[in-house]
Formats: sequence, structure tokens, C-alpha cells
Amino acid sequence: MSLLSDTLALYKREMLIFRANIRVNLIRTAIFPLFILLIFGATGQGINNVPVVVVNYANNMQSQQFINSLGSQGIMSVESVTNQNDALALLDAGKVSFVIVILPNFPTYNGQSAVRIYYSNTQYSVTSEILPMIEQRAALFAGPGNYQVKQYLPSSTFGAALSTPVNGANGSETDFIFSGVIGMIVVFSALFAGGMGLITDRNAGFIKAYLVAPINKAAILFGRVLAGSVQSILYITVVLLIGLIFGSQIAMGWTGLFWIFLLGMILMVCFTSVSAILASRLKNVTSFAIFAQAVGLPLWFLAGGIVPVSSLPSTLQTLSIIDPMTYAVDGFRWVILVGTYPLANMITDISVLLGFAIVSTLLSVILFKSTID
Amino acid sequence: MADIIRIENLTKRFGDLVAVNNVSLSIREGEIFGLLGPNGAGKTTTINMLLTLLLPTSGKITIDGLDLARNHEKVKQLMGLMTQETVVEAELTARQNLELFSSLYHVPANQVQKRIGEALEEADLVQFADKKAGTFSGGMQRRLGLVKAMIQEPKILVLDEPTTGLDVQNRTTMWARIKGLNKKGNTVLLTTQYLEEADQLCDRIGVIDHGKLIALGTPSEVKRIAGSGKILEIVVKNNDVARTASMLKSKFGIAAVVNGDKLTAVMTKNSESEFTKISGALDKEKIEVVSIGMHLPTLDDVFIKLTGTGMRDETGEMKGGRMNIRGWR
Ligand SMILES: Nc1ncnc2c1ncn2[C@@H]1O[C@H](COP(=O)(O)OP(=O)(O)OP(=O)(O)O)[C@@H](O)[C@H]1O
Ligand SMILES: [Mg+2]
Repeated sequence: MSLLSDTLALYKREMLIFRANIRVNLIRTAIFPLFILLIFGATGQGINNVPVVVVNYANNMQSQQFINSLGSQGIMSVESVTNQNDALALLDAGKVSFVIVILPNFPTYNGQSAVRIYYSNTQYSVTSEILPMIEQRAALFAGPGNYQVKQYLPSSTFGAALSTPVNGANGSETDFIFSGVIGMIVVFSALFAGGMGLITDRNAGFIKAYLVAPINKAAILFGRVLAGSVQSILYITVVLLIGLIFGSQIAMGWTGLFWIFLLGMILMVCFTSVSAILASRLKNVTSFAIFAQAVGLPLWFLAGGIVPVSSLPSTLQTLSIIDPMTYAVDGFRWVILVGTYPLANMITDISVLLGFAIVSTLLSVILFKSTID
Repeated sequence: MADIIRIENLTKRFGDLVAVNNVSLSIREGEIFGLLGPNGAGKTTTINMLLTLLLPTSGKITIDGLDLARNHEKVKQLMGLMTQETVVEAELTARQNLELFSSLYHVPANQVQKRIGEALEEADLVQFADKKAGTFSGGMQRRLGLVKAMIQEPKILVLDEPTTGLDVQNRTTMWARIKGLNKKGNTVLLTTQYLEEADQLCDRIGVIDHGKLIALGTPSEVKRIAGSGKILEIVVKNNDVARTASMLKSKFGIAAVVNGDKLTAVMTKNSESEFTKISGALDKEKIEVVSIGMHLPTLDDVFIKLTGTGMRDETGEMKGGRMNIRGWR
């Protein structure tokens, strides 16, 4: 009945307040990415210690020389594994960037190539730098054309989200951090815009004034969630512009923007509702702020905002699976670092985020209604 | 006049605390009814139950013939509220405040602008229509809050402490506005901590303390509770208080209520001659009198009579005489 019109009326109110504080909101949004990119964006400029595993089925002198030459410059950190399946499992989990399989016939060609080089498409930035180097060595030791390059596709979709593209090469550290920062800004904005506003409005008596009106109570939350997702467009734009200044690019181009905004807006809905849930349990702004900080930052780390999820301890990776931010950051990484968005990832990311958004919104409505008698 | 609000045996508990304790009262259509009580008396809790914000622990509320428990939506349209806390949205302009509440009360679209125009005029805020309400003075904010509460043209106007925190001048004009709205046919239910306000503004008052209704009637009826005799007030140097009290008791048979360094008593016999005798006796006993006086009963005297103390502030401490009762929030 009046749910839509009530929601729009309260949405309008939120936006008026947002506009009244626009300068503070923009500055707050800009400070975090600026600092994070200044501090972390400059690290990892050189390439070194790219993790590579070798499966040596030939086990002869030539193959040993080939392996030694790979590790000689310190660019790659080469480890040996005895069978191919174990090696590919490491690649699948995002633990290594390349798997090199040296077949028994090495270095001769007997109807099949002597070397297989597997790379994961999640290791985009490393691939472009390191793959030519490996190919050049293979050509040197096995002969030109006596090797195969294969792209390895991650097996499970959950695994796919977790083994989000990994950084490791020139300048792409900035891209990597920058794509994580988008998630952070959205989540922090949501936590503060949603719950903080709800608590201050309740303490000021505004919520009471709305509840006295013959409106649908859920509109008080929906108006806020709607306003939050619209505001997130502005927040994301600010981060994108800052990324641009730092020399980042969106590998996917303009279509990438569509995905970034879509994922960002759903993420905003998720966390606006989460913060409304927190707000219905916490009565004062200070404890809410402490709580929001305590929740927001760990979730960001778990989502692989600053260190790839695949580099986290495996117990924490389990937590990453239930952190909705993980799926948004996954999408950002594909779009910004890789330039493609594999269908499996796209479906996983969007459906997990949408599911979380729906559940958290419903829960916040239920809790909100129950806390006001 | 018909009863527009009927409250029967209303009780609200918060855990062990009984915030409203078995209150029964009726508010008549077209009157200004004042709920008078100190901080924490249960005024806001009572109002919140009338406005469907709180569910009563027990008791029944009937508004305009409708059982409140089963007619939330209908009843909400009938009532306009000005809250005790912030009454307007500081970040919104006066006009935006009114637009917001027009929407929330589903005022028909073709009437919104007309009503907002009238409301701004009514509140003397036409030239400030597009200024942020946060920049307004306290008086202007209350004026805006008042017309905001009226935007859906409710039958009943509920004002929770409409003048708390206002200076004397703004309070007087607020009273005039409330009386004006009442003349147009609105029933007004207001709460107040100010005895003077209840006395001047209200047709009838209910005195509430610790959740209990302790008096009900017109201001003069309620004042009569304090007795027909005049009220004697003596302020003495602190160490003479006990001596004064016992002297009044033994020589004049007057049981005075002690309130700090002030003694208050109801005069029963011929007050004028008794007053002279008491003055003389105080002089003879060499009691250092700061002030001594007599006045007709006021609502504060009703309080003293009914509760044994003056109006309390938040901490439950006593406030001084009736002249001091103003402006604490
Ligand atoms: N939600 C609540 N939970 C617990 N106790 C409450 C709640 N609301 C009110 N109280 C208590 O009930 C009592 C009555 O409070 P109420 O707000 O009705 O007083 P009041 O007469 O409006 O006072 P004031 O002049 O300060 O506004 C107080 O002791 C208050 O602490
Ligand atoms: Mg109150």
C-alpha cells in the first residue's frame, strides 16, 4: 500500500541530509583511499619471488639445468612437487602462480611437447611479466616450439572467489589495493550511513515522529537502504577517480564500470542492513562506532582487500567464504585487474551478494519492528 | 461535551518500574487538557501509549470511539504530535520539514502546497521558509514543530512539554498559539512541568507523580485540594528551621511542611490576625526570618499537600518555591 510512497518520502529526507553534508562525506570518502594507496600502492614495485612449482618427470641433467636457470635471478621462487595433480591443486588454490611440468622425453620432442606451462587466469598481472620469461627459458633448453602453454581454470566457484586475482608485478599493486579499497569505502559508508543515522535519529526523537505517522514501519529502513545504495554511486566514483590519479586502470574498460557499480550498490544494501541490525541492538552512537570499526576492518581483510584471500591462513579462508565483501572484491579484481569477468565468478558473486542483501534486509526489518514494541 | 479520549486503568511497567500506575481519566472534545508532573512522572510514557508507540501492560484506551488496540492506523490520522525532544529536522528547511510530514501523513497531493503555505503563515515563518530549521531560534523551531504537527489537520493535538526550554516571551506566545488552535476546534493534550502553564492554559488538568494520577479537575478545583485557607510561607536561617516548626506546632497547632529552609503551612483560622500573631512570635523567639508571606493556594501547594514535597527535578531532589519552577530540562 503506502510502503513505496513512504519509502520515497523518507528516501528524499535521507538524500536532503546527505546533500547538506556533502562536503564532509566527500572528504571522508577520499581520505581513506588516498592514504591506503600512498602507503601500500608504492610497495612491491619490483618482481621477485613469484611462486612457481615444477614437476620434474624427466629427472635428467638437462631438466635440472632448466630448473636452475628459472630460479637463477631471484624473480621466481621455484619449488618441486612430485606429481602434477598436487601441483595443479596449488595453482587452483592460488598458492602459486605457475606450474611447469617437465615430461619424461625432455628435452626431445616425441610427438608431444617436452614442457607444459600452466598458468591460472587469476594471476593476470604476473602472467604478463613472467610467462614470456618462462617461455624463453623453455625454448632455450627444450628447443623452440617444444613446449605448450595452458591456461588453467579454477575448479570450484567458491574457490574461484577466494583465489581472486593476485598481485605481484609492476604497478599492479596499486590496481590490486585500489580494487580492494572500493569495497572498504562502500562498507564503511554503509555501516555509518545506516546504523549511525538510525541511532542519532532515534535519540533525537525523529524515528518516534515517523512511527506516530500512519506509515509502513519498514519504510523507515527501506528509505535508508535506498538512499545508501544511491549514495554509494558517488562514493565509488570518488574512489575510482583517486585510483585514476594513482595510475590505475580498469582493464575491462567501460563495461567494467557497470559491474563495479552494480556490485558496489548491492554491497551497500548488504551492509546498510547489517548496520541497521547492529543499531537495533546498540543504544548509543559511541558503542555503535566502536562496533562498526571492529566489524568493518576485519571483514575487509578477510575479503582480501589488502592481502589476497589465498594468502590468508586456511582457517581464516573459511571465514572469507561467509564474508559478503569477498564476493564484491572478487568482482572488482576481475574487472579491474584481469579485464574479463568469468561467468562462474559473476554468477557466484552476484547471487551470494543478492542473497545476503535480501536476508539481511528482511532481518533488519524484523528486528527493527520488534525493538519498537 | 463528549469524551474524545478515554483512558481506563492504564498501567505500563518497565521491568520492576511502574512508569504509569492504574491511571483512569477522560479528555473531552474541544478542551485543553494538561498532564502535569515533575521529571520522570510518567507523562511521556502515557502519551506514547496514546500514540501507539508503546503497548500498555494493561488497561484500555478509547480514542474518538475507537478501541486503540485494534485501530492503530485510523487513530494515528486523528492525532498530531509535537515531541518533547527535537521537534524539527535541523538539516531540512522549514518547507522541507512540512513536505516530509505531508507525505508521511498522506496529505492529498493537490492540497500539499496550499497547506504548507498556510502553515508557514500560521507559524510566521514565510520569509524563513527555505532556511534550514537548524538555524532557527528555539521559539521558531517550536512554532514550526507546532504547525508540522497540524499538517494532516488532526482532531487531537498532542504536545509533549511544548514550552520547556523557552524564554518567558516565547512561552507566552506559544500559549496564545495553542489557545488559537484550540479555538478552531482542536482538542489539545499537553504535558508540562510548569504549574503556571497548567493553571493559565488548561481547561482541566491531571496531576501525575510516580506514575499515579493524584488529582484531576479544573485548575481551581485542583487548587482547592490545598484547602480553602491561605498558604503561609516562612523562610528562616537554616539552623532555625526545626525550632520554627516546633514553635508553630506548639503555639498555633500548625503542622508545617519543611522544604529546605522553607516552611509551608495551610492557615485554617482567620488568616490575617493569625499571620500577625505568628510574626510576633517569631520575633519574640529571636528566629532569624529571611522572608515571610501569605498567598492564595497554587498548584505547587497542591503538590506539597499531595506529595509532601515540592516539584522534584530529575535526581528526585526538591526544587525551591514556586517562583523557581521554570526552565530546568
Ligand atoms: N523505555 C523505557 N524503559 C525503561 N524505563 C523507562 C522507559 N521509558 C521511561 N522509563 C521510565 O519511566 C518513568 C517515567 O518516564 P517518562 O518519560 O514517562 O516521564 P516524564 O513524565 O515524561 O518525564 P520528563 O518530564 O522527564 O519528560 C521514568 O522513571 C523513566 O526512567
Ligand atoms: Mg517526558
